[in-house]
Amino acid sequence: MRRRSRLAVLAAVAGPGLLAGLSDDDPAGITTYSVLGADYGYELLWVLTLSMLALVLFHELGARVGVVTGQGMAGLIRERYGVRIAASALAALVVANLGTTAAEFAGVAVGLELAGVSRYVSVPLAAVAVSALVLRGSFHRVERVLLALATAFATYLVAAVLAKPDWGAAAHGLVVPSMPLDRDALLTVTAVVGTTLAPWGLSFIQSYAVDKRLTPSDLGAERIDVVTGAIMTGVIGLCVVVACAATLHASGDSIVDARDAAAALEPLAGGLASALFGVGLVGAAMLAASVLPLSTAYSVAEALGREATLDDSFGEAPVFYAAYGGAVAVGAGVVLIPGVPLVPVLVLTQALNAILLLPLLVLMTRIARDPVVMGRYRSGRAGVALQALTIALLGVCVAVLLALV
Amino acid sequence: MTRQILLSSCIGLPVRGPGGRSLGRVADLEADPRPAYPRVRAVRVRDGAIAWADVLRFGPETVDVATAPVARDSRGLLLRRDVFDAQVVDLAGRRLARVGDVELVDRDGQLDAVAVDVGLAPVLRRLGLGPIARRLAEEWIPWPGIYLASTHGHRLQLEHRAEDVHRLNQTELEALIGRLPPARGGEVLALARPEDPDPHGTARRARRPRRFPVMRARKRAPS
Repeated sequence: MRRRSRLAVLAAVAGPGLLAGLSDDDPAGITTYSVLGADYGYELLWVLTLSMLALVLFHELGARVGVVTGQGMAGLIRERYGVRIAASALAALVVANLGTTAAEFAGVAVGLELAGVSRYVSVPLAAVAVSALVLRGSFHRVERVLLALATAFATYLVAAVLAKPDWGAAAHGLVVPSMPLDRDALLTVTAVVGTTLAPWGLSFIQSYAVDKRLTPSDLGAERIDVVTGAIMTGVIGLCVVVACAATLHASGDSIVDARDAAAALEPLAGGLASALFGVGLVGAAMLAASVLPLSTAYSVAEALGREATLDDSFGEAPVFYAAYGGAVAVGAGVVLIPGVPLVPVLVLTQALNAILLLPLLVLMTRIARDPVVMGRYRSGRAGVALQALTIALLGVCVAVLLALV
Repeated sequence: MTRQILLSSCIGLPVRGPGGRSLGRVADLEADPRPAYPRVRAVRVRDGAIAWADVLRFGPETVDVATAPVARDSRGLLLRRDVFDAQVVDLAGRRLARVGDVELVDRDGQLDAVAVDVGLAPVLRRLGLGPIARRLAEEWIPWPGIYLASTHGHRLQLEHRAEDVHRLNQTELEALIGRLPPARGGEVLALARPEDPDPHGTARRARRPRRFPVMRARKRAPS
């Protein structure tokens, strides 16, 4: 009976960690994992383990700060550091989020073009679908739909099995670090870390935990949610890497993006594996295309002092919904403009995300250890040391990324 | 003589001591939270505080004082630290707005906090976008419509206009009283018939009072 009630609590609390984690496996993430598997086989899988640990560390911190303070990241930055710093952080976050949203809609376009659907049909439909979901749905309905979208990731589990990988080599690669010391390997490792831990994911998990009205008594269950989300994110990444390592790397093929991976899988692992890879890509893109504008809308509304929830109507929360609609319109619109150089836009976005990540992590860490803000839920010494170590390692990754791009 | 001052325009003003000696800049205003309208009792600079009785002239360009600041811990309500940018939530915990500015009234040499602006205008003004801010409506909440929930050095402060308390249903009233120390809970009920609920007339200027029947500004961790 007691166990059943614990499971019920867990089911009620679950969501922020799962969605924030899984939406990190967006088309950019799938592409990065595919390149990792195709170019380096199982050798760099340990990077996924480290990324997963960083995800647990900072998503737990974000959820905890949100639950304890009842405020999202942008609002809390305004409260603690003033309007000017909040406005600067918001401006950078919005620009980076718009670029990333465009990348997600590009993922929808690319995934459905594999099935012969034009982007001029798929992208507007996707934009209308995600807008209708948030505008017309209650919090719980939105959460259920997003979690249902996340089930698309199961296709990668099947694709990995169909690829018949060497699981022993995969297990070895996961726990034994080794890497060739060349520019491309460094860039790939950095890209994997960067695609897993993103500013929009951090702001989303904090705001979403607040919107879900979790209380400090839910923190235990929320930690399980965060760890589960991070593990699932890592497992999906593992499956993508393994599928590509067993096929593309074994045959010596190289790829540029996830579409290449899906197409290249067909002769090597069969049509079903290729189709599943494509379905997973579209599902990942739709999930992230819903979460990114939501993260943007939360941040804009919080920084402007117009906090809102998904249960609010448009009339009650015009700033929130206008920011959501604006993010969807810009993200989808960029993909539909003929001749727009998407690759430079995406590279610039990734660079901005990387630059923004470090100061945001520092601000979050400072807030989380502030006893005035967090009371008895502040970060302990061990937690602060781990966070500082992770930020230092991420700093090295960002420096490498900026030096090599 | 009555003069209206915005907190945002006070922060950073140069403070001059006897002989025009620079004593730093206004970092915060320390107020007594007990009156219906918190009364400023000291000007804080980086190195300490100067009692309001020693302030010779307050603004608009400088603050002239008679003595040097005295190093001491902050006491009472610090308007910048505790109120600026604080989140405003209703009794049910619903997030409504965020404090963008605090209106002070200088009446016969006494400076009182009388209202908070929760609109977008003060945000834009503080970002240096004054011309745009002037086109937006102000959204003032009279001070008696809020209370501060803080665990940092001072207790809950509460003053409510009688009509605000009357507007609450039984559940909301119980929730409100449940959040307060017993003595203050009794005061809420007593507030049903205050002698002068709004001496500064701020309620008459509030543009959107109905959206904010009773609020608390939260800026600290739960105890």
